[in-house]
This record gives sequence, structure tokens and C-alpha cells, in this order.
Amino acid sequence: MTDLLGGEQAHRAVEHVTAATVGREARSRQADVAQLQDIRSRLGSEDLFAQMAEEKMDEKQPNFDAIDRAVLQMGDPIRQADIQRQTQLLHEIVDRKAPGTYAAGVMPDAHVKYLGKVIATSPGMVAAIAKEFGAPLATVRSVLERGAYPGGGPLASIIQRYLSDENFVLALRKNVAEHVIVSDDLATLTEQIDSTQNKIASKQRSIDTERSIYTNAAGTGSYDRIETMKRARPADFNTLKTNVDDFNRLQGSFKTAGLQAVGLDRNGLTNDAEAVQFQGDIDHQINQLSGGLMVDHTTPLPPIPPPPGVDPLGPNRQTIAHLVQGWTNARRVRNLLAVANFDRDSKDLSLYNEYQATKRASLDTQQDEVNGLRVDLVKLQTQHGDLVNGVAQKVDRVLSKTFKDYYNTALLAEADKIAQAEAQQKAEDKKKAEDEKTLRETDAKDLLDRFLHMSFLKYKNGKAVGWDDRALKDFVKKQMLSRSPQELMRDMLRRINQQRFHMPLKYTAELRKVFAEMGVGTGVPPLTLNQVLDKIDRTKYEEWAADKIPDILGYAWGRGFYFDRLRLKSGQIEFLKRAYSPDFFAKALAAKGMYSEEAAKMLGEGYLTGGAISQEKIKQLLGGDWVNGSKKLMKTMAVAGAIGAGTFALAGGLGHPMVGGILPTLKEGAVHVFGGIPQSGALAGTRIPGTLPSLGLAGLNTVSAVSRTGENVIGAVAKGVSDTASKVFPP
Amino acid sequence: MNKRLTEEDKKKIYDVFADSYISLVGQGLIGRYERKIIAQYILKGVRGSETIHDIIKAAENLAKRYPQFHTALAHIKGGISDIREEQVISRLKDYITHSKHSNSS
Repeated sequence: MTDLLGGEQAHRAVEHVTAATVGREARSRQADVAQLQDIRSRLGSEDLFAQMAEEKMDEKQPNFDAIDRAVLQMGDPIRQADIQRQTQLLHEIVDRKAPGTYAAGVMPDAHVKYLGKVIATSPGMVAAIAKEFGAPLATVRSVLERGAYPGGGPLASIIQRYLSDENFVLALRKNVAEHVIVSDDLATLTEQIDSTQNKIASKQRSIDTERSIYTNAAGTGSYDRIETMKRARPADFNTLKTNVDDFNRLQGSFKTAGLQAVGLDRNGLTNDAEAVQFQGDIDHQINQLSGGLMVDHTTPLPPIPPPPGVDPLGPNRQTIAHLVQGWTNARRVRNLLAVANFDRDSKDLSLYNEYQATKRASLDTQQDEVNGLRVDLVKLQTQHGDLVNGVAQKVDRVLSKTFKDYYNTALLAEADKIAQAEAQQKAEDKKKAEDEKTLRETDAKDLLDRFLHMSFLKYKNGKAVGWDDRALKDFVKKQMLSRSPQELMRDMLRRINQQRFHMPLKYTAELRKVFAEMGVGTGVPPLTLNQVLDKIDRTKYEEWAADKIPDILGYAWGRGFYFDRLRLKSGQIEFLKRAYSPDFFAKALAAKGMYSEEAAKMLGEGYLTGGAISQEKIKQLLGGDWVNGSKKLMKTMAVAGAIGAGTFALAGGLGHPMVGGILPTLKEGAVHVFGGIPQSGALAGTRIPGTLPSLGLAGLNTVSAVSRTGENVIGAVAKGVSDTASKVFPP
Repeated sequence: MNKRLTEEDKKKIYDVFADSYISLVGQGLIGRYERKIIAQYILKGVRGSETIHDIIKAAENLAKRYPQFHTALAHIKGGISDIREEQVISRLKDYITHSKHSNSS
């Protein structure tokens, strides 16, 4: 799945954050339950558990101890403090094992603010939250970055949802376990670094100590002093060199055979006291060896008498001479030692020479080795730093990465699942609604088909006793002229519902059932009939109206209420023009015959008594040959419909002196009538009596319709009407 | 009373556990991680049980470990009681049948 956190895909994030924040978790859980139930129904409960037990989960656990140790080795204390804080928060968040471990209200605010900062870096999420709250993007980002929102507020609660979401916590745990890994190399490197550091320190200390004898930062080393002397006082330096040379040479003069012979030989005389002692010993020895002839070295050697006589010193002369020389050398040594700072300067010079000759090179070699170790140490420390910083970086990024993972996998998968479930639910709802709609409409049509005419009958003790003339009259003369076809159809369905209480019981019960099936009384609160009727499409009403209103007009016609003979006011005509199509009246005409036939049936079957009365009346009026009379009558029933600009007429040939006054309907439409052309000059505007018997009487004197449109209809209709009349009024 | 559980008994016991398990998932009381662990626990508990008593003990242990199951425990115990009753009735039937056979023979 693609990363949706980019700005360009913010719109999708908007949808999904909405999905995740408007309480759809329950639906998600329901989807899980459905899945479990499906497995259970297919495989059984044991295999359900077996499958769940083998669910692939990430078993790897984060090692926060190792992370903590690594973080402690960070160099930058400020960053270290930040990473330590993050590690602590991560540890707390992933330690929650189940959703609900923390109630939303007690979730540490630090956790919320921590994730909030991460979310602030995701443009898509910021956009989504901005959309959620209707707030500007920049404001949301700033608020998230600064954590400037109350812990229990709506923004915090969105973030808490994520933190409470097991998928998120699991993803975080997985990512910490897999990505925030402290390599074993870190421990090895730490040891190597410690060891190298110790070695360097030790060796450097040794070198520094040794070198400091010769030269040091204070300039007090032997080399330093001699160098200073050499530069500042070259004469002194030369004298020192001479003196030291003398001194060194004299040191070798005390190992002569003469001194050795008397046991006074020395390797050297390094201090004055020793020299004094040495001189005293020599004087004493001279005295001894000379047999008193010489008191000490100051006594000149006694001469040997000539020609060679006996030497007064005997064989000791040569030894005494060596002793005298030794004493003299000792004195010279003492003189050198007496020179100011000779002892120190001579030692310095010695070390100076030594340093120049060998020591410096030796110490430099050692220093090079230490420097080599330092290079090694830097390498080790770099590796160590890389590892530690790597851990720190992972700590720094793991929450952000997890959120992306969570968003791209868990959340979107969840959203997909929700979307699918929603789509399925929607489809089911739609199908159900469609089914209900279809059923409702079928039922309504069925009601109209089967019960409309029955609703216009009168009942007594559950039996039909005649037509509800008042209703038919009201329909023809009032409702038709004021109610739209749709409203009329609603009225008719309401009428069927009202009239059911008067109908035979079996119809009452059936109608109750059908209305209930349409939805009346169902739901909470229970739907009223009007609410159910509101759910039926307008087009359906129109369709039924086209079918049924002519029927009702047919019933009315059968009862002598002639819609086609009404005198209409211009406003009523205008209303009819707008409410009905031309076709409607053609159908209305066609329906006349059909429902007259139906009415006849009813009469024949004894349903009605009103018709019988009419029959008697007609017979009385028309005399014996009433069939022919009624045929003529029916011709006059022809209705001419003409709906055109400025004119509207349903005209039937009707001209009776009594009713009189029928205007030529095609004349510029000044007055519109339902009616016919008068045979003789009649008074305009007189209302036509609306009963069948009177119509029959009037029919004797009618002429044909004036409207040619009407004539076309007449031919078709008249026959039907005529036939019907024969049935209605059998001889 | 401590009749060994048959495969059929265990099947019913799994059903009782599954009712509670699915119900808790529906209520959001056990997450994905717990689902696995609890499923393993139930499998181990039922497979390792020989009697009703063992099952009840396993269910109680489960509830101790996962407090979410406390509320479900009553349902589980109720379901298990029904199974126990069935066991008793079945044994009684066996006894009666056996007695009849014994008497007739």
C-alpha cells in the first residue's frame, strides 16, 4: 500500500482519519466477529482456536535494557537526555499489552503529546485532523508541534485512539524489536575502547615522566636548562663542558697501580667529603710509606744521595709519587666540585648529551606507538559512536515509522475492511429499501386496483348497500378541480384505509395486513399512513392517477355525476390544464364504459340497490323503448376533449332548453364549458343538472358534439357507453 | 461425577469457550495479541483436561490470567454445568439400559 502521509494524498488521509475517529471501531470489531464466526461455522470451535493459536504474530520483543545502555554511552548530553526521554515513553507505550489497559482518561499526557509531535510531521494527517476540526492546517500543525492542547480535549482523544489501538501498539512493539537493535559489537567496542584508552594513558604517562627529566613544559628538565645556558650563556656552557670533561677525566685517575698498591684506588671521587677523606688517607699513607721522612704530600720528596747512594724512601718512592699525584687530582676534583652548581650542571649536561644522543629518539618512538594507539582509539570510538547514534536515530524515528506503518497497513486495512463492510451493508440496505419500496408500491397499486371502487360503496352491517354518492359528487365537483392527480391518489389510498372499517370483515382484516406490509405502524416511532404515502414516488402517483382517476370518474358517471358536463371557471380550467395531460381525458372517456359495465355487474349481482332505483327511474322516464332511448342518450355522452391555446373543453352534445345556455366552446375561449351546443339559444352559464336520469332526459334533445377532437373520441366511446347502458339497464 | 470427557463433550466445551471468546472480541476486550495467547491456552486447557473438574479449573485459571474472562467465566461455567448434566443423564440412561438388560438376562 502506498504511503498516504504525503501532502498530495492528504485527501485520502482525510477520509481514513475520519474513518478512524468517528467511532467505527465497533464496526471493525464486528467485522472481526463475523470473521471468527465464519471460521467457527466452517471448521468448528476447536479449529477456530487452533487457527487463532497459530496466528502469525511477531514474537520478537524490544530490548529496552540494551537500548538504555546504548543511550547512556551517547556523547552529546542534550541529545542523550532527549533520547532517554523518548526511550522511556516508547517503553511505557509498548508495555501496554491489551487495549483498555489504559482508560482513555488516564493515559499519560506525555504519550499523547509525544505522538502528537510525530503526527505534526505528517502533512496528510495534519490535513485530516484540520478537516476533522474545520481548522486551518498551519494552526493544527503548530498546536500539535507545541502540544498546546488540553489532555482531555477532542484532539487529544483522537491521538488517544491511536495509542489505545492494539494494532498501533503491536506495530510499535514490532518496530522497536526489529529496528531499535543494539549490536553485540557495541559491547566489544566498548571493551576495546576502554582497553586502548588505558594503554594509551599508561604509556603516555611513562613517556611523559621520562621525557620530563630532560625536557618539560616548565622548561626545568636537564636538556631544557642546558639548552637555555647554551643559548643565553655560551661561555658558561663551554666552561661547564671543559670542567665536566676535566672532572670525568680526573675520575679515571684514581685507579692507578700506585694507588692500587696501597689499597687507595677509587673509581672516582664524586663529592667533596669523599675527596677530603681520600686526601687524608693519602697523606697518612705518604707518612707511613716515607717512614716519617714525609709528613704529607706537601713535603718534597727527599733526594737520593749521589753517586747512586741508598734511596731514603727505598722502593716506596714511586708509590709515594703516585699518592702525591692522586692527592693533587683529588684537589682538582674538589676545586671542580666547588664551582657553583657544578654538580647539578654536570648532571644536566650528562642528561643533555644522553637525550640528544639516544633518549629523544627512543622516547619519540614510544610516542609514535602511543599516537598509533590514539588513531586506533578514534576509529573504535567512531564505530562506537555510529552504533550508539544509530540506536538513538532509531529511537528518534521509530514512532514516526510506526505511525506510517500503522497508517499504511493497519489503519488503511481497517479502513478498507470498514469500507467493504459499509458497502455491503449499504448494498443490503439499498436492496432492502428497494424491496420495501417495490412492495409498498405493489401493495398500493393492488389496493387501488382491488379496493378503490369498493371504497366508493356504502355498507351496512358489512354489506354493500349502494354507492357513496356524496363522495363521488365531492370527487367530481370539488376534488377534481382543486387537487392534483398525485394528491388525489394519496387521498384515495387514505380513503381506502378509512373505509376499510365499514367494509366486510374479511376486507378489513386484509386491508390492515396490506397497510402494515406497506409499513404503516412499523418502526419506532410507528410510521403513520401519511409518512408511508410520502415514501411513494410522485411518478407512481401520477401513473396511478392516469389509470385510476378515470375509473373514479367512471364510477361517478355511473352515478350521474358528470365531470364532462361541468361548467368551469377559467381558474379551474387553468388548474386542470396544468394538472392533467390531454391523454388523461382520453383515458377518462375510455374508462366510462368500463366502469359502467362494472357498475352493471354489481347491480346484476345484487351488490347495489341504488342502481336499481335508477333503473326504475330511467324506465319511467324513457318509456318502454328505453334501450333505444338510452342509445341516443349515450351518443350525447360523448365528450369532446380539446385542450389548446386559450380554449379548453370537454364537450358533449347537449342542448336542452331546460339547461340551455351552452356556448360554442371553440370561440376564443372566453367561457369554457363542459357541455354541448344548445339546440336553441340558451342562457350561458347555467349549470347542468348532474344526475343520470336527468341526463337521460336531456339526451333526447341533444345534438352532436362540436369538437372534432371530441368527435374522434365519441365514436369509440359511444359504442362502449351504449353497450354498457344496455347492461346497466337491461330491458 | 468425574466421568472422562468424550470427544463430543469437548466439542461442546469448545463451543462454550468460543461463545465467550467471540463475545469478548466483539466487545473489544481482547486484542489480537491476546487472541492468540488465549486460544493457545484454551486449546491446551481443554486438550489436557480429562474431566469437567479439570475444565472448570482451566477456565478459572484463564480468568485469573485474563481478567476479561471474569464476566465470561459465569457463562462458561453455566455451559459446562449443562454438559455435566447431560453427562449425568446419559450415565443414568446407560445405567437403566444396562439394568434392563441385566434383568432380562
